[in-house]
Amino acid sequence: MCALSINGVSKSFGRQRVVDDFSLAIESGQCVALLGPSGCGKSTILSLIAGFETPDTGTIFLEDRLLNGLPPQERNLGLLLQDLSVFTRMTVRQNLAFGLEARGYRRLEIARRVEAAAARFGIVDLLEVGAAELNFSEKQRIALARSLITEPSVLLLDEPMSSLDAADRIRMRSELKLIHSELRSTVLLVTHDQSEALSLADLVVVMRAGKIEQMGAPQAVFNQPGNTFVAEFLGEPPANLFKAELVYEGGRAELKTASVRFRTDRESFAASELTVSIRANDLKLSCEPGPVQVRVSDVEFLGAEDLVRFSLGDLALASLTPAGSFRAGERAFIPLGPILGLLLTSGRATESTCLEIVP
Amino acid sequence: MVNPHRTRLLAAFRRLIVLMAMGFALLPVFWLVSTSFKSYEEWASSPPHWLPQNPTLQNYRIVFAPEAARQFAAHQSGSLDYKVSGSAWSAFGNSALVATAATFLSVTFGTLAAYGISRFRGGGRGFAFRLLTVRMFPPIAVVVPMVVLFSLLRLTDTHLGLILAYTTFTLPFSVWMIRSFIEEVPIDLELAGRVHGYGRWQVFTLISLPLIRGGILATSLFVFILNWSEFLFALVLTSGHVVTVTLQVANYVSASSGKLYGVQAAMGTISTIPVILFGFLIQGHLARGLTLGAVHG
Amino acid sequence: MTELSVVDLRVVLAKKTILSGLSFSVATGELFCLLGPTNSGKTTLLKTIAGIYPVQGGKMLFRGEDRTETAVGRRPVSLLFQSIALFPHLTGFDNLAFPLKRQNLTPGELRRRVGQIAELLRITHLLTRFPRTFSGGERQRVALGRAMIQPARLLLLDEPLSSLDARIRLELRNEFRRIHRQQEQTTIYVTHDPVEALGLADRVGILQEGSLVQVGSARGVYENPANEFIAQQLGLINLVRFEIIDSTSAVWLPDASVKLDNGNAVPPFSGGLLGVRPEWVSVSAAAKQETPWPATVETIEFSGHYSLVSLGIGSARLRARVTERLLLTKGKRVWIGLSRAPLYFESPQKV
Repeated sequence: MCALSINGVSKSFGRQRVVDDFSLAIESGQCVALLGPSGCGKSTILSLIAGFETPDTGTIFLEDRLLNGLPPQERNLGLLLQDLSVFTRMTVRQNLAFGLEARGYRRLEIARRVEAAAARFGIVDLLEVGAAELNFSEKQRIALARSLITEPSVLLLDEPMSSLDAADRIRMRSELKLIHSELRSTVLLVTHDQSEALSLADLVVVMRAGKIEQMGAPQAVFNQPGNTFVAEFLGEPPANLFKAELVYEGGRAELKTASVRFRTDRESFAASELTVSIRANDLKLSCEPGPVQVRVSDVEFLGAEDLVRFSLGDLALASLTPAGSFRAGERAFIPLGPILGLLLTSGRATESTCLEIVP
Repeated sequence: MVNPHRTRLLAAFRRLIVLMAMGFALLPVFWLVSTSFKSYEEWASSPPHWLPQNPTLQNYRIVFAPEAARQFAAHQSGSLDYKVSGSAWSAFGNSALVATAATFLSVTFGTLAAYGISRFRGGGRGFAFRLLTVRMFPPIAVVVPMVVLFSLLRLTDTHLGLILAYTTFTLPFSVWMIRSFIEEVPIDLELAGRVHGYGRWQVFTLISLPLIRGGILATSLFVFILNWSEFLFALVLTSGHVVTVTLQVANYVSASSGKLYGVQAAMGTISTIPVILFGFLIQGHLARGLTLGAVHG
Repeated sequence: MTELSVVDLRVVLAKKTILSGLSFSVATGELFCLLGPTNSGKTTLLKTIAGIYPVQGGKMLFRGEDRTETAVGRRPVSLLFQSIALFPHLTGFDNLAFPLKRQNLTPGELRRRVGQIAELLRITHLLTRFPRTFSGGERQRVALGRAMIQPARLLLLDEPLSSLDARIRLELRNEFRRIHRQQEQTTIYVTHDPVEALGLADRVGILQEGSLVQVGSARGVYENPANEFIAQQLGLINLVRFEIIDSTSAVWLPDASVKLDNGNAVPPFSGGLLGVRPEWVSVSAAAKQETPWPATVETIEFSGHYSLVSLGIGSARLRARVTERLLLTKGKRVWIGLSRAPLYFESPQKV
């Protein structure tokens, strides 16, 4: 069943079109991530769903109820904003009970739900503590518990982890993932962090300038980016992207840059000028001498692995290698063999291909 | 779910309330301007005339030309209060001098004090509030001591005396208002200046002051209005030599005809002009939120 | 040459001891990263080095000269605040030129210096504009330029990238690497993000509650953290209780379900925490010599070129970094092993 349906919504502030004809259908129990750079309109869409702004055009339906015109408090949504808005003058218990009291629940029911939420979120011993004394990650848990305690149809999260420490962020990500799989609540998450979107969401919606660039399951958007923007935006480290020209050499198709030639296994192509995308982990480097030699310009230690930047002819590329394999200034070699790559043409479907460097 | 008609009706109702409130507030101003053009007979007519039936500039002539005032006095039986024998120009001059000087002093010292209170916690905690409470009791309570003090210091009926009095009584306002503007300037901006080697005074003039400029101007307008319209101390601390606009208005009484409402209205109307002018002039510089975007988080 | 030497620094603010017993030194031209969680005293340390806060104990030596008592503004440092602190009433040019105005440079020289740094940071188009029109990344660059315009000074950067979008953060981090390689300005870079610290630093110092608990090269600290807190600060690590039951092997608690045959790598203590980084866990679909232990897949977090898989072994839970395109589903039975010996930490309390 469709839990949240957004149809043709647009919103302008002054002369700027912040959301442009946006449509999205979210299934019940799904976790959907709105992913995009600052200013792409993702937070505005959340405001529109929550009822803090009204759309210029379009409708928003929660199951079968029309939300347009309804004030925020009647929409039965859970909201977790970046600044948390935990009430510092109340205890944790009072914070959790707030939404329920406002909706007129009975005292017994409120107590029951508060206890249950405290148990699930591991804050039982914080219940009587004043909210002002909590550290940030505790406040985050309170805010999350409070947003779910009213059992809303949809939970809206606006960049909930962007002000956290890196370590806390990873912890909260796992917690959110666990909670989502336990509660099977419908979640709409707004974020600028692609790794967050990929790891948490069932459906990733990539946005830019108020429009949807691409949407799909995390693996789908990652492995099959529809255009250069999505290919560049997803993935850390960013994929190697370069333009190549299609030429025919001795009856075989080749992709050519200024000084490098790739043989490709495809036979038909969408255009003669293509953008090639090769993920850093698909491009392997080795110390074993071979016909394809490169010069390592920089090695960045990432902890689990190294990011080795090198130049192959006129191309500046990067490869993920096990830590400590190479040093800057050294020579390295790309072993011969198929390299997985993607061919991107604007307006057409992305095709994957196996490339081989011609030495 | 939501009745569109109901929303429109509510909006219209809200607009009506606002218009009524505006009317209520602007009514005295309208009356003032209207009366200033009324001839003698209509000043206190009953029933009151909203608009002058025979509009005249007589009142304005009385205000600015003493000749006209004397003629008027001669024409109507009885005499005018002797202080009105001079024209109103000197009244405007006195008010301008006193109000401007007092505003300048009040805002200058207020800014310095506010900076000290905000950045150095000068005066201890709560000093700004204690300063404000000084202003909270009614000025009339200190009228007698003020007169005694001023006569001891030989400041009665002098420009300097009034300037000092006005400065003192508006200083708490200046401090209170400007302090809030200073608090809005993120301290990191000043620290950045200091780390780059600038001394405290340079940081104040190069960084803090430009950023609170709008606040200072707004406070100046507020204080200027207070000074320009002040009556009690002008009355009590002067004895005829220094006559401000407010006093002059009050002086338009005649032994036989009572208060010369029309003339008072004319004077009142004119005295609003400088204030409105001041407001217009600084309007462009009242940029609040200038510090938005300087600091993150 | 040692640019800065901090000896036994103690700083107390509002009756709380923020820093104590802090000692480290930074060599000229080095990029020294200070890594630590929020409230570990990182900002306080930078502000103390800049002279904003007074010290209650210890010394700070700038190229051998004791400047512990020197007033702020007289020390050879430039500080980039976490709040950026751009002057909103000044243009980009004037912001950049601000530190130089005191130096009585000719207008031509001033313009040249500003132009140089603007080109380095690619902000020439921002010189005539005001900060309120800048984007987050642009603001950061201008602030960085202002801090860097006096190259003879020690550069103190307080979480310069934390307020930016993930994408821009990556871009600016790479740019900063390039710039540092070029300018070689001695820098102390404070961050809470281990990826930033490991990728940028010549050396890393980990700060915990006001003390430096370990200092070393990026790879050095990552592979040999002194305790489990440091290990966690540098990246994801699985921590499991262990106990040695006989003289040759270690056992994972609490249900003794896995026995590690270590031979020579047995730690000198009989119990504590075992640390395994996700990338050291090998996963395969069948039992092999390299992957002898059975486990169940609990959750899968797709992260792009790898997935973080949470595996249950007995009552312990291990997260593994799986890069091969294995078909993993929740509840599937897999076989795991370790590609290198785990880290051992003596830790009396529970995790």
